[in-house]
Amino acid sequence: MHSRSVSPRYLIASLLLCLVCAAPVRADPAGDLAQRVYDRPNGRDLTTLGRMVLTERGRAPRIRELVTYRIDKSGGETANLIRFLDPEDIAGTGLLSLDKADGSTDQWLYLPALDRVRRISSDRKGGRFVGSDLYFEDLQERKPSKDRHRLLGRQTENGILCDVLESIPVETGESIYLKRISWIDPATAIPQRVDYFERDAGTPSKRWLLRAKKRMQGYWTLTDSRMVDLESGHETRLVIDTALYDQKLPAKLFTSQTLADERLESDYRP
Amino acid sequence: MNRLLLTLSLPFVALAAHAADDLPPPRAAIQEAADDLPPPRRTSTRAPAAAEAAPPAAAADELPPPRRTARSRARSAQPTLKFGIDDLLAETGVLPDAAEADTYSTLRVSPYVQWQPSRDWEFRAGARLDGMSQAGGRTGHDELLADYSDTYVRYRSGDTRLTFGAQTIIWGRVDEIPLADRVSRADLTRFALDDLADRRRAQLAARWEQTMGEYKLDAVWLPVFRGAQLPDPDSVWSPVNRTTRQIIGIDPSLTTGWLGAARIEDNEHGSGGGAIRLTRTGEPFDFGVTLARTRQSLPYYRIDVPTLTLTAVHPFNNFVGADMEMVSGGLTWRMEVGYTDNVPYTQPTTVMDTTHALDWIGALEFFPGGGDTRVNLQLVAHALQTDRASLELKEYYGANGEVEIPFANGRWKAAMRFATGFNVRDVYLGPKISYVGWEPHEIYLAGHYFDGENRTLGGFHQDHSLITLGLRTRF
Repeated sequence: MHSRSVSPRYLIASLLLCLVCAAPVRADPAGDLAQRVYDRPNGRDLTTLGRMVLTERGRAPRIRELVTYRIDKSGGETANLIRFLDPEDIAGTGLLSLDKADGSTDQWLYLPALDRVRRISSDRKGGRFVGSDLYFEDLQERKPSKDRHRLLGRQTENGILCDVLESIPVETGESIYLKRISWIDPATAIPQRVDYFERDAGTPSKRWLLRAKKRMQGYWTLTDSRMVDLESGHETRLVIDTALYDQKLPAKLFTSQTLADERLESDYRP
Repeated sequence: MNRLLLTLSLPFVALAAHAADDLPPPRAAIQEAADDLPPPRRTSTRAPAAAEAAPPAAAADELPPPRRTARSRARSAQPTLKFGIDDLLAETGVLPDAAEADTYSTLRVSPYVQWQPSRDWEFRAGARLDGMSQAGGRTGHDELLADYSDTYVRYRSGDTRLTFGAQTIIWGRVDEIPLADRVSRADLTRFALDDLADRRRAQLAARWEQTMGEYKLDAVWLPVFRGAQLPDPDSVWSPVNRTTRQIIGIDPSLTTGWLGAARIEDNEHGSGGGAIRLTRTGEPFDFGVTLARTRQSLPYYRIDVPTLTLTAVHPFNNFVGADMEMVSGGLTWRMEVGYTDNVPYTQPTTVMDTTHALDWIGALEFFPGGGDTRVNLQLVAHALQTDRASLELKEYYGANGEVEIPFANGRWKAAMRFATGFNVRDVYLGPKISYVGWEPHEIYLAGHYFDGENRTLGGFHQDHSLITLGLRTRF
């Protein structure tokens, strides 16, 4: 998994990126649009405090509170740290991801009960992130070049006339999705909706919807979104309560030392 | 930002070439969930500041973000006081085959309070209460234990962290039986029913942790030795079973005649020794080296037949170990190897002697199909380096691990812990199904099946297979 996935703000950005993939030929308007989504500014670093709400019909929602940190390093590397704050049974659990320029990801998990940092595989594309409707692949930063893109037309979504972009993996089996269709606001390059097709290229299995965005420190922040499992109706809502950009987060924040000692984050926590 | 210029340069008219026929039908309006989220819990250390940092609303979407040349405010950790229950376990179980009892129940609670007056200092006090009830057989009894849990003073400065007091320190890399676990205190009150973290207790220690880039030095001194927390001698989980007249790990043919009347003594005195561990986290793999001269909390029973006495001894061991962890092809590989000297064993004459031992554990963790199921497989090898005959197994080769399968959107979890011997028959199976949808609580139904030949753990507990129903939580 790529680490960007771990920050809620980044989660959302990554979701958007997954739907859009860049075309290698710059004259291709579909590829250009995918690249615009990929390139949308999101700061040198970002800290968020947010909540993930898991909803199932007839059941009480489960709410996870989490704080995330992201930094873009030089050379195209990105580091992410996520810490769960609630509920108590997972509070303190941390996940550190280092996305390298070659596309690989190193990832470590901190388990408070054992006070132990464990290296884990980042290849769980189809695994559910903390039991949510987000797959680990949804959280990865997907380069536009990994998909073939095609503009399907324009359609209104969230009251905005959006460009509708279809993205199909170039390499079959490389993604757990057969394709994605994204509704993108051409003015902001922010997707308003993404349909995910897992088993049937004609019927989406999941749908991501943007509920609210807010401009913070000059950056568009997707403050409220949800991923819906269209078969079960199970829904994961991602809410960002606070976002802080460009705090000049230190590289030391993204080390196993900080992963294992929550107190070291305290200077940067929202 | 250059990226933004690219965005601005995109002409909307360029989007004309599309496949209008392929447009999906407009979606039916999905009913928006009520915006009934409670306000965020204030776990943060300072007030949210994003709103005040937002630019004027009139700013165009395409404008580059304002540059922040300096941090707008100084930040530091605020004093925090936390208290709660670290762990609460209520479990009742049935022992279908045991002569000692028909049921075994546990109630465990661990309250704590933690105060962090500043970024540098941390104070914690904790207690642990264990109540066990064994009923319906020859050795029914109730047991209540009170102990401290992690109770310490911690100081941080830069890359240094010092901790003094009762601590639970579990070194190592693999699950269940890490070889580098040389400074923890074992809890045998429930044998191996619980996960590793719950089979360890706090003990007095002075700890110095020093981080140096990707390296970390961890030094621990145990000023006062405490042996493992043992269950009541009448408990089914006691390592000395007076009902079956066996000592765990020892050939029972020697002990059946007199063990019922034997006196059990402890030999706990002096310090527990010290150990250092150097670890590195980073590319291409993580590794660690451990040097220890410590006394292991697990007792070894020295047999004195003339006086009918068993003495639990804890000799100092020198230990040298190495471990590593890496990811390759979607698999996580973990390995530990260790050399230990002064390991006690008992000759057929009942004389206790010592030798050295070599241990190796290789572990493989993976998620089949990249999904939610987690599989952890471990191979273990243990060899006492002596040519003399021994009442215990001189070599043991086996496998253990766990398979964990979340389902129903993570509200349920099925798991199976297992262990088996290769050179001897030694079996443990631990199926468990849990409902974890009522967070942070876990309600579970679990089984523990033991079987094996003499001198194995499964053989020693083969009549103690157990079915349990439990609730576990923290708050």
